[in-house]
Amino acid sequence: MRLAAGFFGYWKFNVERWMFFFAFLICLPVFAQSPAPQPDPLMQLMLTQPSIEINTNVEIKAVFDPPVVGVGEKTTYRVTVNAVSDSIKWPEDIYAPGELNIKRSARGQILQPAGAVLKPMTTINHHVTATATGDFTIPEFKVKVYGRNVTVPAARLIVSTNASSAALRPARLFIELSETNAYSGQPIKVRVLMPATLNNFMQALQQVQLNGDGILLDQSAVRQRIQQMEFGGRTGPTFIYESTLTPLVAGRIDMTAQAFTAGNQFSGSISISGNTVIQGGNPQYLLLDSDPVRLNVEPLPRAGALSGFNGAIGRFTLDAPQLETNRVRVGDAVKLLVTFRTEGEIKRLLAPPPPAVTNWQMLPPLPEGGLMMTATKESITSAQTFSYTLIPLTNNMTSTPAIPFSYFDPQRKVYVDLTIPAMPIQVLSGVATAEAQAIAQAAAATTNEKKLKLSGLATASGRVTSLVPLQLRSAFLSGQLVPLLGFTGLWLWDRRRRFYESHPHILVRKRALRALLRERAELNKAARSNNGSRFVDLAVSALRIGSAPHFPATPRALVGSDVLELLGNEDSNGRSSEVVRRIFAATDAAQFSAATSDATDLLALRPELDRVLDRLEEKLK
Amino acid sequence: MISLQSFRLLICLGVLLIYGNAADASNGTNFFKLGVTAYDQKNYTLAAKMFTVSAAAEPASGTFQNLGNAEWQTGHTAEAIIAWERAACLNPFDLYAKNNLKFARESAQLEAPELTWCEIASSWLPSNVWAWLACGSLWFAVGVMMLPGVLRRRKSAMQQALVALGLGVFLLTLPANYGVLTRSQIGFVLKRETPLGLTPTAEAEASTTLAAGESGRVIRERGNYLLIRTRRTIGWIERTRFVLVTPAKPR
Repeated sequence: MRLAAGFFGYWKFNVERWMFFFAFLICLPVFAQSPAPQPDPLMQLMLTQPSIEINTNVEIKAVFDPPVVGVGEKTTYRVTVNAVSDSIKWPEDIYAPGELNIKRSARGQILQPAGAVLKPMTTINHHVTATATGDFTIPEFKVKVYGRNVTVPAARLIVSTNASSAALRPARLFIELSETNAYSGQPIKVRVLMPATLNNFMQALQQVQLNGDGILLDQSAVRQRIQQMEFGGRTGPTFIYESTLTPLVAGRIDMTAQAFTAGNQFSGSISISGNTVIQGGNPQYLLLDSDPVRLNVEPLPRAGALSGFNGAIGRFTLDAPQLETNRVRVGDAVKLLVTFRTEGEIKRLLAPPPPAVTNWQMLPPLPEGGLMMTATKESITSAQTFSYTLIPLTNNMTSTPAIPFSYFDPQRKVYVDLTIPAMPIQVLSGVATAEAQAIAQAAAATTNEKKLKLSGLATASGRVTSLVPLQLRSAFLSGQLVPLLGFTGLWLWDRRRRFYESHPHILVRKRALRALLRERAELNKAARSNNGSRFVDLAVSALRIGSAPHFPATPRALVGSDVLELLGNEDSNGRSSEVVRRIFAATDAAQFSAATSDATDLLALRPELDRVLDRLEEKLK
Repeated sequence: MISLQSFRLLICLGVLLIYGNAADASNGTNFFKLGVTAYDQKNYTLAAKMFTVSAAAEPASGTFQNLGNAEWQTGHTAEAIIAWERAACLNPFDLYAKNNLKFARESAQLEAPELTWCEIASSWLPSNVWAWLACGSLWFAVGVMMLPGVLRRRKSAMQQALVALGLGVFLLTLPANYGVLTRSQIGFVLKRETPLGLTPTAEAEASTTLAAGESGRVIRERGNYLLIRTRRTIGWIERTRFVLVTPAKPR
């Protein structure tokens, strides 16, 4: 039997092994024929990009632009490093003479094509103003670039009273905002200006960016142009970079602009008007920046908010809505076109979402065509059309649902209702699928759920408790001492109890000692009151209690000879034995003799008795 | 033995305490009802005052929720958010307070405080429940571990399982209790356009300004100023312009 089991076990093991082997053989051609993995397109794109050169020696230039200024005039301390920006650990503070106020203003990186590689160049700008005339130098100092210490050379600034700033005026950036007080979410037109230098040379700007917390620059609305305009008391060509920014947070936002000059290398389309000189040759990439501009942003007022408000800020009008047809069958789609108009350019307008209704299935609105702009002599008007697709689900309706919409007018500081009105329509009987009805009802339910609103009042105050959590209350923490002490006491008590259980003689002696001390106290009282009979009784009791643990026996079972045996050889002069005998004899006489005995004379034995009891007490300890 | 005079003193003290608490409680309830009436009559300023007094007498989640509503209606965003935060702190199951906080932050474009995972866990239950759970489970485990020995009973698998359960619950509640402690450092800016200074001085340069209702976490205190960390920056703020959800001292 065992042999058969062994055989079958071996057979089963072999079968499994062979099955695995054959399965492997079958799969092998499949693995072999599987196509080679496709290369990652992103990786390929990265590999085709020219590499960034980071192995060259790090070179740092530090200059003041302009190098000569008057007192109180602004100059830029510009440091240029041929390394990527992330590799430079720039110090927070730079040592500068006390007469110079220095503040970091911009930092940027540009990649210059140089054959097959791109050379990185990082520029860090500081705004410097001088409070006194003189010849000042920012001494050389070390910074870490690619983990190595590199020296930033010294830079010299001359501050003189007769410096002609106009003659040396360097290129600078300026920011202009259409509004300096705005509401959060309100699109604002922003212009970054770079006036030409004195000889009307004009350069392109690259990597224009606005620095500031909580702003969003619309890159899709960027327009560039060079035009003649008066700026700073001088008329000349000016590079204008125009876009739209949206403040996202309320508060005071300080923003600056920065950009690299790029010679004649314009990026994107640009319109040029007027006399402008554009130099050829290789561009000189200089990082320019502007002074900060402050934008005060307020949150939209809560009061007066209307339904259908979805963040539209400005002044809008609504053209009469157009229905594709005024007769439709149940289940057929009909298109509703609505056009919003505003003065200027529509910067950010989301179509009002369709309302939650159960009799209509309404698809999300889609922009119909692009932005239409109409220019007149006085102003520009732009219009945007949205199309809503509506599917009637029942035939008892006579109009399309009104679509609530409102916007906030920042000039009047009020919300304005611009609800898309209901349009008369005749719905003929037809068939609406159950799916369409379910979708419409689900959409209505979801839209209702998403709408947040202020809840009503609580009808009851609720359970009264302190705002200070128990974890911070010293009473609670000190209250934990109670169980701690309780459990500690319990543990000590249990430990003591177990000790006495394993050493019962110690407990007997301790109890005898306590009883002996009590008896001696009573004995002393009896002696002081000259009560001889009580003195004798207590003396016998004390002698028995003091001797009992040594035998061991119940105290009442002991007689005088037992006590004498215990005292034994320690009684050198026999006086103690005599005391014990006399006391026990007096007790016996009192108990067994018919004649009454006077024990008052035995009170004189008290000193000797005390010595005997002292010795018994010593033995018990 | 307690002497008769001491006993009488204790009785008087007890009566005074009970009477005082009852008076406070009845005042709190009355003010709560008055606040509800004023709110229904759209007298939101009076309602806010009534609910404030009621909350001072007997802090409760419903009172704070109503106080938040009244403050919101009077345009006091920060006060409303603080009141709702307190309501949610006292009763994390109060969905109305949480809904109102979401609503207020969406309307005023404010961000909720950034909570660590310990703090998120601590907000699942009232903070006091976490404290009782921690100490109860600990002492339960200690008791179950000790008592069989004291009572001369054999150690059983059930007893060991109970000890493990108690210790497990205790360990699980520790992060939440830590979260309660760190959450007590969270507060809100009370006034709009509150400057956040670089130094704790009146002449400090403001690094930025904070909107009313913006949250922050107290890191340090110095004189009349608190060093707070907001979601984006760090700086000193005047003590009177910042309110903690959990007041520093028991009311």
